[in-house]
Amino acid sequence: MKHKEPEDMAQKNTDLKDAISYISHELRTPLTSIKLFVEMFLSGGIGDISENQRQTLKTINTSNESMIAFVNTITTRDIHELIEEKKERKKRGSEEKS
Amino acid sequence: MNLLKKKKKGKKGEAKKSRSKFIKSKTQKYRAQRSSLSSNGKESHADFFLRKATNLLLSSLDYKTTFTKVVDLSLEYLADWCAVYLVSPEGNVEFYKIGYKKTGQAKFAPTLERHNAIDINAKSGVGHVIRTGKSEYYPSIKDELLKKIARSKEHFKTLKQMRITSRMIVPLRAQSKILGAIIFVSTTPGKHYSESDLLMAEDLGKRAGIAIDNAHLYHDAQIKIRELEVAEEKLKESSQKLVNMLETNSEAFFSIDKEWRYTYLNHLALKYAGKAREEMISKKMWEVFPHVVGYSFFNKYQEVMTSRKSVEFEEKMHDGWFEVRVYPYEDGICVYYRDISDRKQLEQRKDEFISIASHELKTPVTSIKLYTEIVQKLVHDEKSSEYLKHMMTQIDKLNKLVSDLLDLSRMQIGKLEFRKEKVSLERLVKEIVVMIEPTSKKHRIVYECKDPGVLVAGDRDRLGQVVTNLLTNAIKYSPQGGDIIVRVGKRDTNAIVSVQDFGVGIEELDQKKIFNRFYQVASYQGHTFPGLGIGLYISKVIADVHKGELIVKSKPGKGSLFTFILPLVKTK
Repeated sequence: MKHKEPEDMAQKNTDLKDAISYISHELRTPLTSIKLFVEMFLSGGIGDISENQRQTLKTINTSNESMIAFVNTITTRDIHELIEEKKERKKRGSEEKS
Repeated sequence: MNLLKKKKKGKKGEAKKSRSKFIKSKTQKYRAQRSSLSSNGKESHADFFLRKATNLLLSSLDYKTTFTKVVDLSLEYLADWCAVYLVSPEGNVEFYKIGYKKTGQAKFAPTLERHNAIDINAKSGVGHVIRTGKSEYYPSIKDELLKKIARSKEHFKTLKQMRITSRMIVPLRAQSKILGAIIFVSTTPGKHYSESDLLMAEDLGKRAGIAIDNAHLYHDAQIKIRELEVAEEKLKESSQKLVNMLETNSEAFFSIDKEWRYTYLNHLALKYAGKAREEMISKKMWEVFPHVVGYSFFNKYQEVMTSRKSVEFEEKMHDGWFEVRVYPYEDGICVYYRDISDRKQLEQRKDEFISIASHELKTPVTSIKLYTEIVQKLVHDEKSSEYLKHMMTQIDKLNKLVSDLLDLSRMQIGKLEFRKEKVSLERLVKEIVVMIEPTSKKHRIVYECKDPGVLVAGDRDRLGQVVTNLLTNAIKYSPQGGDIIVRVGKRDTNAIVSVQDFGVGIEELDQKKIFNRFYQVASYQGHTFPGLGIGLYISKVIADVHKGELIVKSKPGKGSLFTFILPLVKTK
């Protein structure tokens, strides 16, 4: 459903976009930095690592990548659509549980 | 020249000399004559004349028309010629009317009318009478007098031909004002005016004067009434315009008087109320809505009614959100309701987004932190430890962002939990200062505490969050480094924590907005500042929950002073 968008509403919509770009920008800096550290460790650039350490670092990397993917999603996709999708998934999830 | 004010004492003429001799005795005689005749049951000539004249004068407020009738009456009973002069509201003497009895005398009228100009400064005549308010009386007329009166040879000739036998001029008097004069002239051979005639004429002058004065007053009153009517009409017009404006307004509007009675509602207000105008106007609020008294918006109305200061708030009603503005006015309060449902819907969108984002990130960030701590334990060489330490700093930053988002999300649904315990502000703030100090090498934190025993009630972690926020902001917004002063103390019944920096400061326009979500002082002299711009919002909410306040004083380029005010715990 398409909403009418008077001027101040468009302005508010920009606020939402602003919020998203703030959040994604702030998240990206530490995420990229963590990604670099993990890659350096994994490539053996810092020192030798044990298999155990490698597995742990890989787990860290997966979590970090999932966050980077999330930030990419919120900055590229239609946010309203995304919200509806997530809400729908949450609803289904709770339905299945019950 | 205003004749009504200016009165000069003129020289007494021949006629007046003779008059002054008899004036007292004759007045008595005149009165006695009138009363004796009246007592005989017959009306005297004077009474009859004056009664008729009075009736005429009272018959209409259009005194000019009435005067024509009075002149006619005078010609019937008192004179062969009669002329009336009136003083205009501007103070000029204006010839008004001339009348004559005998048809044969009509030929003189044009000449007389041509010579009717009045010299107000004359030593005798109409001007003199009007100026002094004293009558002139000439029982008999000699040629010398005619010469004195005449303005020209032609005038003299006419006056001579008229065969004037007697003449008197009386003022038209109302209280102390002289409003004109009447000339009575006799041309009947052997008919000379008596003193009684003069007194009768003067009596007429008084009555006519009062009639003119009444007419003037009536006229003035009429003008004032008309002015009032015009003003009232204009007022009606402008209030109609105002009503039209209020009716076409996209906001609901209503006003309530000091007795809480509805005095006005526009159509939108009636629509929201779901009632007809007559069901509400002049009714008290609780007569229309019996349960209104318990509601928070009613408390706000009450607040405005007593404090006489306007209030704004947001209120959820009828499936929608409204921005409510309440203003005091002379007779009570007026209230505006603006539908902000659309805006609220978008705000809700933002809330939903934050909730999704924070929950999406919560698990991975916790996992990263946990696993990195494990790696830290497994690593023993110095180089790796150093790198992991730097990595941990970034993870902490990330963790802080995510936990801020979570806080924000919880606040929006009112699920942020607060414990209640006694908190020593001095100890709490000191701990935070010790923790923050090492994070910046450029800054020196100066800690001052005047009242070490300051106790407040609340959630220690949340209160610490506010102080941490203020301190990290102080560091962030003074990139050049320097002192940051942290003070803990008491003010009246409140505890105070203040954080002062000497950094970039905040523009006045921004000072109100910094407590909004996602608001950042964007840049200052090329500096940009990282952060979500939600720290102060969260701090403000925490302050509100603790019934405290968070206020800012700042000057661009001079730094900022944030003061966190909390109610003190009452110690017995």
